[in-house]
Amino acid sequence: MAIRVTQNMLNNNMLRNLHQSMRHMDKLQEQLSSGKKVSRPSDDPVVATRGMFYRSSLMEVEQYQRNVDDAESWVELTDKTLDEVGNVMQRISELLVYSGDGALSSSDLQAMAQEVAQLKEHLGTLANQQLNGKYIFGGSATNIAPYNPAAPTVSGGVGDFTSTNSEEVNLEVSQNVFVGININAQNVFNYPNNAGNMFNVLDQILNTLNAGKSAASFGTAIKDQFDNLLSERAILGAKANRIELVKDRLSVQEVNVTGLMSKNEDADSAKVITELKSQENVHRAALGAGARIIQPTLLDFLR
Amino acid sequence: MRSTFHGLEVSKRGLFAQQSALNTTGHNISNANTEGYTRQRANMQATTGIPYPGMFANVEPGLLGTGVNVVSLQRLREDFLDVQYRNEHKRQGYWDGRLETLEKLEGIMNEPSDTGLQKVMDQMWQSWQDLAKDPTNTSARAVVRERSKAFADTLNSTYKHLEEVQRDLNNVIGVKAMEINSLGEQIASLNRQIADVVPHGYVPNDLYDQRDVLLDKLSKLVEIRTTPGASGTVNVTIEGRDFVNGAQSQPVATQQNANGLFDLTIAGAAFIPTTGYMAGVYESRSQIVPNLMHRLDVLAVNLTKEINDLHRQGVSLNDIKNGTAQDLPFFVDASTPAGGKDYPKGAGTIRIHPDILGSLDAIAAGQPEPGGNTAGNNKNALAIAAIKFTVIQPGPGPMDLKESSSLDDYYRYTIGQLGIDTQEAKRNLQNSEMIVGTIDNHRQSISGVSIDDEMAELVKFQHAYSASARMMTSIDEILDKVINGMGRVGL
Repeated sequence: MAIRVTQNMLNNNMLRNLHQSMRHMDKLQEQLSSGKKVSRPSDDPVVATRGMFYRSSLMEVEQYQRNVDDAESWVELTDKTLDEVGNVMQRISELLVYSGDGALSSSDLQAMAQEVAQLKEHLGTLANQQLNGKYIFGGSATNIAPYNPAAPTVSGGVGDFTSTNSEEVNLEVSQNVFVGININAQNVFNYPNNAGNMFNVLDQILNTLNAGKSAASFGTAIKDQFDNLLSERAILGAKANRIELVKDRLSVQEVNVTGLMSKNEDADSAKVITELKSQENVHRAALGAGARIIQPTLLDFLR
Repeated sequence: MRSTFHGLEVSKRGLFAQQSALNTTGHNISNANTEGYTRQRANMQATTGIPYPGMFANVEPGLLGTGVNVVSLQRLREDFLDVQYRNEHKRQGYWDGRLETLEKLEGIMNEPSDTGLQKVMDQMWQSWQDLAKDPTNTSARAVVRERSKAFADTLNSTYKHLEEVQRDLNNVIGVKAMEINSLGEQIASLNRQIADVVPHGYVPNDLYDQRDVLLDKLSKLVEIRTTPGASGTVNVTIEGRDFVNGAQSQPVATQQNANGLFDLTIAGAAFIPTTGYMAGVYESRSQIVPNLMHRLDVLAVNLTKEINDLHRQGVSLNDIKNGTAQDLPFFVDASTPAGGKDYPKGAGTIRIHPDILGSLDAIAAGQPEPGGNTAGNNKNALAIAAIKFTVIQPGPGPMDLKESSSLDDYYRYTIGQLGIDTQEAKRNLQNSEMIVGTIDNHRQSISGVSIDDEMAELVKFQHAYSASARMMTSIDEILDKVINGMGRVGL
């Protein structure tokens, strides 16, 4: 059957075509202005949900990076503090060797005791090292000073490491990967036990020196403490290494996820502009054709 | 034997017939843009001839033509296309109704974006991680509280929006029922007018047109079937139930059910629309929106249960200070009495526990330690942050997940499903629109008025009219000759 074409049909068809082409242009324009291929789940459900997943992943990575940064600064400060503790030990061993010199008078030894007392106090300060208001050597009791300058020691002095908390504080640095940010301070400041820890040894040295005697015999005890400190620092170094590795991995992951996200949902602007341009041409042609088709009827030629 | 004035009569008939054809053409042109107008044609037929025996030939008499008559004004329409059109029109209406709702829901869910629920949830999990870094820090606690509040608020407001959409849709059902009734009454009234004139031999073409337009409109709203009745009337059923019967129409009524929503009845019998715009809206209200609400409920209930269970076992700063375990749930239901511990029952009623709103120190970041609880313990914060990845096991309960997945996945799946449904509705609507357009083009091709056509007809009939008039003049001249010019020899 030959189709009989009426003006209304032409009108309706043209309007339908124009609407369709406008809709297409609108979509392209939206893509261009938002830079995204999809703006609603129905544009492409797969891309949309994947986009949600990547956004979520990106936020996770960012959070893990923040956690790693915190862990890093915590470990760095711990390492610096332990280095300082090492320096104090160094100085004390020097003093101990020096005190073995028989030519020293008891007042010389007492002056030496003065310095040891100062060093002990410094050590106490180091044990109470804080990061953002938290005691880094207090285990999980980060709000309680682990070293109490007023606490009596077994050897009769005052100022002891009173914390007994050896809880590890962990941070999540990747999904289900935890890094302990603190070291077990008991292994450093209460080594080998509370009665024989470095503050007790220092008190004993103080007593000895104050009594005008050589304290050279404590050399082994201090060396012991120093060796222990070094092994703890080695553990800390391993931890710092691990954090560094995680940090590198996270930055690679960030780049990956960002790339995937962009690939998944970013509009290819060159492609979109080209499509828009060609759609514009189609639209122009449709308008032009419409203007030509709709206008004349037989009426126009019968005048 | 013909009469003397036979020629005048033949010409007169020609004039009348051509004029009525011209009038029909004029009627067509006038209605070129009338919705639902069907072009009409004046069917002409030669009138019965009279015997005309030859004067000289001894043969059977011939038949002398007596002119022309318009026997009918025919509506050029094909019923089959109407059936096709209405069948597809209801499908278009159905997808239209669904798509409207689904697009609204997409807008409400607002995913993927930087302001949707996903982002709010992510930020909430982040805040627990930040609290884990610094469990004694008040500002980290404040962030946990604010982000959790944002999560609860977002769920509350999304839920409220969905309830509004549902109420809106319910109103639409009421309005559309009225529209259906109005169409039914108009069809019945046209049936009456038609039945009044048809028995007298009239063909009320324009009334038929009007009725067909109403039927077209009705077909978009509900599933209808039409059967021809007596005297040119048409009977209509909706979902197989009598709707219009001759000059009578049954009202489609809405009745509020126990949930405060409308149920539909026709002549007192309940029915559920299966297709058409009405069905699209009905399904949106009774299935699509409630399904989404239910999924949000499941998300809210499971997520808050996970957090609450952990939070109750945790140790807060208040617990450490007071030496007692408070056993506080983090989220409670809005209906919980003061001091109660009811878990949230849905997305619309999730709230933060008032004690936590009252004191940041009530947030339990730590877990109990054997050697006494300490403020720097962050294990509970870490455990809560890990809920993001926890795979929840399915269960038989109404609020249980039906497949094991993390809550993040569950939410993403919800959005994905919404996207797929919307996409489907969009595609089907476009297809239906195209099919309806094609069928309508076919219909227009047969019934539509073409100005070109009509102008050609105009010229044709005008010339035929002029020729008939010319014929009349010729006869006149002949008769003049006979009457005034003959037998005057010698006068």
